[in-house]
Amino acid sequence: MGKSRDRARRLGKPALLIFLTIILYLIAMNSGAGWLYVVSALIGSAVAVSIAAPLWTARGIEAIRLAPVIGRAGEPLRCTLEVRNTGRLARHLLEVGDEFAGDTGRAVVTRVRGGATARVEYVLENPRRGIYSGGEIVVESGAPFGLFHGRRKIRAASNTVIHPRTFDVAALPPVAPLDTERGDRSESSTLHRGHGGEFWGIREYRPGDPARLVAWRRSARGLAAGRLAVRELAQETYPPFVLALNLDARAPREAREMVVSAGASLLLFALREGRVVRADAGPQKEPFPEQPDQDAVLTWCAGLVASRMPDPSGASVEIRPSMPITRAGSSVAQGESGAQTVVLISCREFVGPKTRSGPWMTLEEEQEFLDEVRRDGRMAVRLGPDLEEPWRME
Amino acid sequence: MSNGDPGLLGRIRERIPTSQKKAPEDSLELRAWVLAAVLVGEVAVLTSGYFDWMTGILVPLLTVVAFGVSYQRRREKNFLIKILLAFGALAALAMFFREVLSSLYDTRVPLARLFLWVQVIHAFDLPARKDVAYSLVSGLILLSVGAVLSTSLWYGVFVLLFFFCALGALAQMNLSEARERSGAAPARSRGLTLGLIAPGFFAVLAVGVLCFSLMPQRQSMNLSMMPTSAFQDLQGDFSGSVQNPDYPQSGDPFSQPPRNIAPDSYHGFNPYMDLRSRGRLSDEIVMKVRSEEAVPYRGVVFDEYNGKGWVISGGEDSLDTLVSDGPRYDLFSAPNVEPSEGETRQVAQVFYVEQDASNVIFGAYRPETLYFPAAGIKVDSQASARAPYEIPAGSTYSVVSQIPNATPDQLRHASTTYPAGMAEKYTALPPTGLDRTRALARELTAGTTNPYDAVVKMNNHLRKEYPYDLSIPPQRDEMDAVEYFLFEERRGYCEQFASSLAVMARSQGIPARVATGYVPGEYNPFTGLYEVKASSAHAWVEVYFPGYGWSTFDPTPGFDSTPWQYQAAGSVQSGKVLEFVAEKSGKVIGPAFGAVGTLMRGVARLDPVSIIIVGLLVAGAVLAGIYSRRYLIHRRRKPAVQRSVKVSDARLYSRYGAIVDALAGADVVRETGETPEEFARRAAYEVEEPAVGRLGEIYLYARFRDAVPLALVEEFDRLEPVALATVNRLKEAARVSS
Repeated sequence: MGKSRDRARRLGKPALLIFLTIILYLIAMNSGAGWLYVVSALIGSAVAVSIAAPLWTARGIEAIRLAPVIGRAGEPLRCTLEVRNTGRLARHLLEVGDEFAGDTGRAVVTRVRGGATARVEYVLENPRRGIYSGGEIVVESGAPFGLFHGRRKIRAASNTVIHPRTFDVAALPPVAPLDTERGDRSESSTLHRGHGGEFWGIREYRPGDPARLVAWRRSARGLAAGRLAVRELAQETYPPFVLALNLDARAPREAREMVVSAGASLLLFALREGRVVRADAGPQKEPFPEQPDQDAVLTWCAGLVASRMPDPSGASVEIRPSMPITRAGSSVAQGESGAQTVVLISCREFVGPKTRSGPWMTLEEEQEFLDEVRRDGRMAVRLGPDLEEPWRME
Repeated sequence: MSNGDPGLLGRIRERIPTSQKKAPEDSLELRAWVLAAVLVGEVAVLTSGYFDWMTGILVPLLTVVAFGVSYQRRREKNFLIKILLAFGALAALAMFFREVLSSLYDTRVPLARLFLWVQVIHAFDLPARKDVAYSLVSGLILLSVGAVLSTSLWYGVFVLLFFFCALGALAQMNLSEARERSGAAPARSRGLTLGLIAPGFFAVLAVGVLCFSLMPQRQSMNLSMMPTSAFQDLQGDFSGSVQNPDYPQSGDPFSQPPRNIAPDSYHGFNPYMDLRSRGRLSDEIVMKVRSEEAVPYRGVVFDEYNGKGWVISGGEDSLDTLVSDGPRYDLFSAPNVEPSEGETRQVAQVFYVEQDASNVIFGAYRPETLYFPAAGIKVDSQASARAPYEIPAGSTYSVVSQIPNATPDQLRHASTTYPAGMAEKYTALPPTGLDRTRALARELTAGTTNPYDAVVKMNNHLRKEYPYDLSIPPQRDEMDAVEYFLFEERRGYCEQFASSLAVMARSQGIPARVATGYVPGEYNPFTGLYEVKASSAHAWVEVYFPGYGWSTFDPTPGFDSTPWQYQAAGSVQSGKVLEFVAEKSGKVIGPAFGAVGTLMRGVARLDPVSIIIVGLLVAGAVLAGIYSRRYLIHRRRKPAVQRSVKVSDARLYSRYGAIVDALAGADVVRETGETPEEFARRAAYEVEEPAVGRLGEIYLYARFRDAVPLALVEEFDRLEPVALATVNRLKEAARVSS
């Protein structure tokens, strides 16, 4: 719509001039004024020159993008373009539009001499999360008179990662009650076999066990000669922080971005807390890094695309847009997630009040979903575009 | 008002929506280019001669002020200014209507005045780019108004200046829009005028000339707007006889020796025309005419031949006086004017008088309506009009004529029964002295069955057998002027040809008379006007055909064949630009332009030969361009052939050895363990001559090669004497000091 309006607006000027040419010619025919013929011929000539000249101006132009390697979604990204004129004659009034990182940066080159290079800077005001290796640069020229425009598209290589927007997190959601209370010492407990100070148990010696852990007394008393028992020690550890990100393609893009932003924020916080982190976002081109650090996590998040829903069972937190799971007999299957905490991103709030209808949950359905999760003994949080930092899931 | 009360004006201001829809235009350069274009448009109108000096000063001055004000206040609401401008616009409109009502037949000047003031008013409120663009369009309208008013070739200067400024403004507008899209702030654009605007202007000019030369120009006119110059309300009666300042009248001219022809005025624009007069008319432009067709402009009609020349019979009493309180005169209201007969076609003409002239009002035959700036005119029975004064330079008047449109067939079948008095008046001849003429006429018309064919035969005889010559000697014998021309001199001026045909026709009982006036002149495709020179004056014959009126015949060779009105001359002019330029720009480049003009005219009228020639030329030019470009690219890309020279041939080792020896003589010796390169650098430092170091580099380069580039050898040749001279100088200095 915008483009067609822009095109129509651009055609306005030549249309007016052609109209004036015709009108002046008719007046000249009616009045016999010779100079009016000259004036109308010159206007027509200006239009004709304006058709041909921009095509020539846009030719022989090359462009190289010099963009930062890393950026952050929503934060201005300052880029530089090197515009090279491979022709012999100078080119004027080149308008460069860089459709890059989900935004368009524009700059004007007033003049490039023949064989010379001009550098122009521009700012991508609102870059979008992603990994960008290319992008199209549109070199456009309306020179000399701006009546018609010649344009040329140039592929420009670049290697830029736009990280998702992240925000401060106050704390991770509390873990489930200790299984020790139930007398179960399974892996779900925060207490694990390890090298802590607490006694865990006795077992038979295995080669490689340190000699200091040999329970001499127990070996002497209870075991046959030649066999040794060793003490097992316990260590209190947290289970890995497992995140499930639901990037449902039907959800609004802003909501999906919020899913990634919230997920990236939680993963970074968990990393800072020294937790082992894992994440699943459904089938993706890149798997979650095996040895995640901050950069690796952000880069993985930057490359996330809409995909099928991952299996949330066993996840510490599932972040999902408020899209219903369609099942036979029920349009909304609430609380099916197996994650300990569910963060529901309200699509409705992201699309705004004007767009009322959509495949996403209504306000009531969102509330019903949250209630059901809570009834299941798990934690449920609703999240819209407004977020108070540091974010705490309560 | 105190305590923060904004007052009535303030409250009204508050009610005005605060959000400004259009972003203010910040580019000073754009505004400057538009201002320049507007000023050119204004000056183009103001110098047309229709405006007083006060307007000429006020309009441009106020425009400059207005542009300054609108730039300074571009971010303001300008509520008060807008109200004042609205009042100003109403005042300009009132002034326009008042002026229009006083000159209904020519609204061009009031309209131009209105445009000028609207431009000034509009210039006070140009906050946004769109407003500035409207101002540019307004400037173009002014230029167009000036184009309608202009009659001079000098107007081209304004057109060129305006287009240069307007194209500059368009380029700046383009830049301003692009900067706005990219969010960049306005900044001074360097190199745009010379790098873009000037080449763009010349490209537009070149294409424009091509378009203009191919553009059909139709010479029609708006009959509701017939211009005249300032109306002169002269009181009292005036003489209707022809008055010509170049020919003072005293006594009977035919009883005196013949007078010479004045260079700037034809002797046929008098109450008499002496066929014995000799002289040559100048090429001074006497008037410019806007005409729908290239038809002659008739001035005086002579109906009485006396053997020496022609006179207008009747005198003062036979003239009708037409009086009007406006410029319009309808000639059919004159009671004595001969009635119109037969089918006619309408042609309108506007006359711009360039030099003081007689009181003859010119116009294509037969004038129907005159727009003349005087309170009265006089008309004779042949529909020839006279002004109450000798018409001064700068006067403008218009004529709408009904040209007889009978075909040769119609004339051939015309009746020979003439109205009462017609035959007597227009067949009268002197009783003696024309015997041979009568015999010749009889001989020529033998076998013809109607007056038309008889006149055509006599006309063709004159065109074929007698040359047109402007350098004839004075008439030697006291004999009839026509007989002298036909049988003695046998060459002469147009009036001798016309008189001969008229006399021969009369001798055969066919009513005929001689008319004088101007041929259409040279068409100027730039002004759209026919430029009429003094030498364009001409004489021709009018022959009467009952039922069809007076029909024109021209027996002078080299002039348009008769009868003019049968020629489909057309009113469309095209392809004459290059021909006109060639004519004006002299003989040197003229033929080339003329040939191009002929070709373009051929293309314009879809002549296949011209199209093929132009097509071949264009194709050749394109091919030449393509191959030249390829050649240039190939030449540019092809690496220069690097010629090399054998080291042994150049003797670089021995020559460098000589330099090293010379250096040793100056106590600059290569030390043990010092590489040649190190030595060369040290030596150059010690003798303070960089050439020594460079020679060492070249020697090192050559040392491991069989051949070295010629450029290096040449460099060695150049530097070697410099180095040796320096070393020798040092040696000499050391010797002197020791």
